[in-house]
Amino acid sequence: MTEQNGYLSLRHLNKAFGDVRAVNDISIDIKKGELVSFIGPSGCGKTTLLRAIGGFHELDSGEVVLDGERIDHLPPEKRFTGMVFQNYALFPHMTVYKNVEYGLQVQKLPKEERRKKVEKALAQVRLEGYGDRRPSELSGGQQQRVAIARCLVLEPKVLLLDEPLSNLDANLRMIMREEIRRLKEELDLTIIFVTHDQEEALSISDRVIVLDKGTIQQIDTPENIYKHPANEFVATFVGHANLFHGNIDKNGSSFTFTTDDFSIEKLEEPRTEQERLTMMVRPEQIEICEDSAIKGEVIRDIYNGNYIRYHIKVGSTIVLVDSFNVGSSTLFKRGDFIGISFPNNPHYI
Amino acid sequence: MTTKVAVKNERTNTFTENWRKFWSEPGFAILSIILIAAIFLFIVLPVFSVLLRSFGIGTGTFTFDHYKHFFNTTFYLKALLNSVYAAIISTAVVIFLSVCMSLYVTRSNSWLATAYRGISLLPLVAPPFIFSLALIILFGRNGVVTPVLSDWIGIELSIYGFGGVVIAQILGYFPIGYMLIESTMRNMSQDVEHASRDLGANQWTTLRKVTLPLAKAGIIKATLVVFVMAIADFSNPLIIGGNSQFLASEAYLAVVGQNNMELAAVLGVFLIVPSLIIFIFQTYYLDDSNLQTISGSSGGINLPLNKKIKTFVVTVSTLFIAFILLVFAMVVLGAFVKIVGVNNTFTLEHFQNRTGWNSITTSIFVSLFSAILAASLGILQGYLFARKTIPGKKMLEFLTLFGLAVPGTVMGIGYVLLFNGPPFFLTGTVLLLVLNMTFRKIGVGLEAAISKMHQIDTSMEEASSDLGSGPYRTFFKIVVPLLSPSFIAGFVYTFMTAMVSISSVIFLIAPGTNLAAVYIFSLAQHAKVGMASAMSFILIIIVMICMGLLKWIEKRTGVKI
Repeated sequence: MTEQNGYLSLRHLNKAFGDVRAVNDISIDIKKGELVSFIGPSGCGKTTLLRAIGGFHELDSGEVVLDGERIDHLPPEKRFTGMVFQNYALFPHMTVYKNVEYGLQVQKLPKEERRKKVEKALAQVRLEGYGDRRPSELSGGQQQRVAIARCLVLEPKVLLLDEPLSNLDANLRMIMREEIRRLKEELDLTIIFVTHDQEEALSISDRVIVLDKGTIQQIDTPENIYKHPANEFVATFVGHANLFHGNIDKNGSSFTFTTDDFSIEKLEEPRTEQERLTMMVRPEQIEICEDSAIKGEVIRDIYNGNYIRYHIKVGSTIVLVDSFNVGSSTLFKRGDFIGISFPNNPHYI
Repeated sequence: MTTKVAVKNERTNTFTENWRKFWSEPGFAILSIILIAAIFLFIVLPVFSVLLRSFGIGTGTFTFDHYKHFFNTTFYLKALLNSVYAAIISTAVVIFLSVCMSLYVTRSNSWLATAYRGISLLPLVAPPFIFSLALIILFGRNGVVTPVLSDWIGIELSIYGFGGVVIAQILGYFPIGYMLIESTMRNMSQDVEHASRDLGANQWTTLRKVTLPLAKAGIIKATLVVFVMAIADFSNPLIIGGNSQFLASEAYLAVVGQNNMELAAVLGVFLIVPSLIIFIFQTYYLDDSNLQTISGSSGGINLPLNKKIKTFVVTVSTLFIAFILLVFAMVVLGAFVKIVGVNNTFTLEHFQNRTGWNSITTSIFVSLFSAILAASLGILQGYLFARKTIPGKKMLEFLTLFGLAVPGTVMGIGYVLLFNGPPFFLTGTVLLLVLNMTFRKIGVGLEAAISKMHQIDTSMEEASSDLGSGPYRTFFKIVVPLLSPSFIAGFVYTFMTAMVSISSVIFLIAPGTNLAAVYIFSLAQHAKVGMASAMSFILIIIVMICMGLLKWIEKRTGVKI
């Protein structure tokens, strides 16, 4: 296999804490100007990986190459990475201006040049006029912007964001998501974004990397991650999924998938030769229709506003079905018997 | 005009309102009044009587003569200057050592760092003058090191004097400074340092611009606390002060030697003024809330120190730790051999000391009573102050906590002035010793109880009354169990400090009764090193058992004391 060189390349990274392999032979190539997010459950190694890139964890083995230069042996101050910490880590004893100026001061830039750069960075995060405030006088979202400006002012080669939105309320999280996207487009930033929120990862990223137990489960675009998860872990971690185990057989010109409880007919040809398969169907892909051959009993109905989730018992299998609440549709209740129909090109794992 | 009247009316109204509320639960109201009276009698009045007596009030005159006498006598001026200089030097050294040790301990996971931390706190369990004792064993006239130095290097070194006092103070007050600075550094979010490094600053710059400025509050607090303790140092000057004079020791000698209460009072005023200023400064101006970083787990670990800085702090820490160990080794050795350095045969004869054992029994008895009293009153006061309307409670809280800051010597003189005659006639009684120890330490239980009460939601008590229980039942069934960790904290702290306290009680002891610390102190003063070491050893063991008990309770209850 030829080694593809990214702008930021992680090659065979390993890190263990005692018996726990926090990072297990991870290799990733990230292109310049790309926003990549690491997602996974807590303890999957995503933060460890990010901190290793920033220089806050020593790796057991592997190489980190940034813009053609190996950086894994360098202390954090010698790497051209900018980290935004989960709790922002603003210097509480300095004003906003001083916080942003800090890195420039370390570089011993002349005062006038520093002022220009700080003002530009504050403008980029839309915090003009906040320079004299203390971090404690700012809201969570504003502190977040300061933390970003403090990195941007140094023009880092890669921006590392460690669960940056987890301390914000739901509305602010949406706004900051847009802000980060905007900054990325405007300044052509390369960003690694760590989160445990799959929706956040899907909406913000160019590519998503799903991690579990220190290993990569899948690297792909948000759409592919959602539509074509590589395994059951990815399927259930990102979004909700129905997983059915069964056999697929050719039946005339179409295919039939048979489980213990039901069989789905008239399917397109799967892209695999295997007979024993796991079929993944998202709840919103399943339709409720009276004339379907597959029928089940509604055992739970959960009203969520824009959609209704039904738990439908077919034989001994529970099928999750999301029905969009368009107003004209009938609402079913517990105990109702309804028919469901499956898409003819489901994803197989 | 009308608005002024309105404001005045409103004030009177809130006052009557508060007064009505205060009496709505008469039991608690009466308890509050008793408590307040006791605080005045046993904390405020003694300090005032020292102040008044320094102007001759109480002897039928009002005069500045005693102050004139003080300022015209170079002897006493020297005592003042010596005390101040010694305090400045020992404070500076303690802070320097504390910062070095804290940097090392908070940035290393090695067993060595853990051991250093433990050893740093060791001096807490010892009587305050144990270092003087050890210095005598090492460098005294018959010291272990003295002949070596004079034979080999030709230096005739005398530990008796200013230098000896300073060294003893450094050793004695180091744990306090260290604890305060280490806890600030430990509670600091590591991510702030990481951010500094990430922004291109190296470790040295980060230390200067981020770590130390953020530890500023802790460092200032440590400086003030150590300075106040050092300036009021009583026992070290009397044991190894030699021909140098110091404030607290001269105050004691004025009482014991010359029976000159007025002069003692003047010296007492000079002791109380710095404590008062610093206490007020600390209470009202040392607000570190705007330096609080957003807490939350960072998942980070401190980056290891770079080689140069690490070498420096480890060297400094190691030398000092070695010195502390040497000192304790000397005391243990002194307890178990005939004469250290002269006749090193093992012996238990220093432990065969009837007076010593009796004094230890008395100390345990007195300390136990004081501890129970101080802890109970502390939590009672904490509850009343946190939950009930009590007129002027802010002031009373201030006064109670001030009791902790008043130098023991001043309290001792104050108690003598106040209780050594009508209407009390309490001097020389065990009761007065108990009261003295209780009210000097009541602030610890109070502080613990108030902070605990602020963590407990009032809804808990509301639920109790909602379920039909009256205010007193609620207090005993709900509040008291919740405050038990505060009670234990107050109890153990008071017991430990009472066991080794000396500067106050030494004024109040009647001939015939003896407290362990006072007895050991007099042994040390007369250079009876063997017996003093043996008794100190026993005292250390007892206090250590208490510390262990405290840790054990902390672990079992999961409550940080």
